[in-house]
Amino acid sequence: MELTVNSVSCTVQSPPLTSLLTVLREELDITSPKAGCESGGCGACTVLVDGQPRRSCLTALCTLDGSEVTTVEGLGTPEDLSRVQQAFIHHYAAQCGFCTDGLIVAATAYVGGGGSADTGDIGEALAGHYCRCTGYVKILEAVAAVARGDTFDTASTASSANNTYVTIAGAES
Amino acid sequence: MGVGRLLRWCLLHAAGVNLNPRTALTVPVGLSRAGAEHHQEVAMTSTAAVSMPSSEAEAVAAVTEQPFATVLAGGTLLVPQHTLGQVAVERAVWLGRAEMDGISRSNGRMTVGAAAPLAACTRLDAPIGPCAANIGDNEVKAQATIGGNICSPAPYGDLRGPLLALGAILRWADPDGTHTGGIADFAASGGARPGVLILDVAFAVPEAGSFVALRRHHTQSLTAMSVSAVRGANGAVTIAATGAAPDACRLYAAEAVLADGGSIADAAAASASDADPYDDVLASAAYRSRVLPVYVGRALEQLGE
Repeated sequence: MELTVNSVSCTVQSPPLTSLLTVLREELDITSPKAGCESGGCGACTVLVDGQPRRSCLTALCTLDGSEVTTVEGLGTPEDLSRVQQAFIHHYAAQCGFCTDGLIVAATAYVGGGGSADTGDIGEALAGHYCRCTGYVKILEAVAAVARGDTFDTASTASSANNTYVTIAGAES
Repeated sequence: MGVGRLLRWCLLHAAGVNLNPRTALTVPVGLSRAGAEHHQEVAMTSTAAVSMPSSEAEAVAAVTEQPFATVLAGGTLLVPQHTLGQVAVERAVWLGRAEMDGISRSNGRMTVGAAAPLAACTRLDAPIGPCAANIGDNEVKAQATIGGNICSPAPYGDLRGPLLALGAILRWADPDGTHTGGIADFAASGGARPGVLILDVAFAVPEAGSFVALRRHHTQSLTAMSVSAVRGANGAVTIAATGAAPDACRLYAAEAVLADGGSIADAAAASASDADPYDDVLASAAYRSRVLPVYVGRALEQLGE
């Protein structure tokens, strides 16, 4: 089976009914798609297949011959993050991080398809994603900012975050 | 091979498990999620072959030849079950290239190919369209198919409700040939199983249709109850529900009240006689009993009765 994963051509050996999630994590060692519910309900395993968001846990390898698969690893590099990745940092939209990869992939497809900055529309597009931290507000703000065309100074955001200290009463003693 | 997978491979190998892809264990049925990691390994060594027919005729031949094949349409139920070792698949047939996803209208009848995705079905008029829109999320709707939904056991299979109300006729193939019949006829024939392939579903375009459902809290949630109502070209109203009984059912008594000129309230009250309320994780029997007449009333008001 031939796949292009994050712009790299791969010959995949897994059996044809293997889920794309298993192929990515177990055969190709690409671990950004998370094995959450493994039944299509949480969105943590979402990847792009030929530019469209797909649940990799629901997608059999045999249905993908010749397809182009993109995960978060293929969206940007630490030195050159995609705009959605920058927005998630700038708006503190990544919390525990488990759902973040699937959300960034789905948000990339949403804004790439000309999605609006309306939070109702964004909520509809991302409705299949669970955030167990319940931090949807920051996620919606981040995606809306990308849709609006905002620019992000992630360097100062990161610096600010590094200089933020939380003092817990009594912790010093 | 990653470290985790290598470690599991070593443990399984040490335990005497055959990991040769050509001769590996068949996947046992009905195993719990507790062993999911082990069964994921088994799934990765599954020997199930997958055919990819390029026409309906090829698909029928591939599904019905021995050993009978399991149909892989959207895969939204089969793939996770296979990953978790909950289903044994000896041979599968993928419909993605069989050109069975068409939707056409001719002489007042709509025909929907079994492999039509739910996302396409959302564009159909009520009750089919809003019912399809009420299933899963955008990604699931893009992948799941109408044929797969018809074959899915309750509490999945939401579209059986609207299709019952529409009096839809299924066309399916099995080793004995091609058959036609309603949703109940398909179930009575044995329903979905290896060696059986739904080809399409057809129904007369109604004069009007409506669909109401209990609100889902999240796109992952299943619909606890829905009511579909249809007014046909002859003016007769047919009503069906999901969640009122263990599987989708027609509400004949409510239909009869309307046919006799009764009110919506009387029809709603009569709906209980066709219901068989039950308890499950989605709703209690008592709650279903209370909600059904309310939703029958809303569906009929939406229909303009």
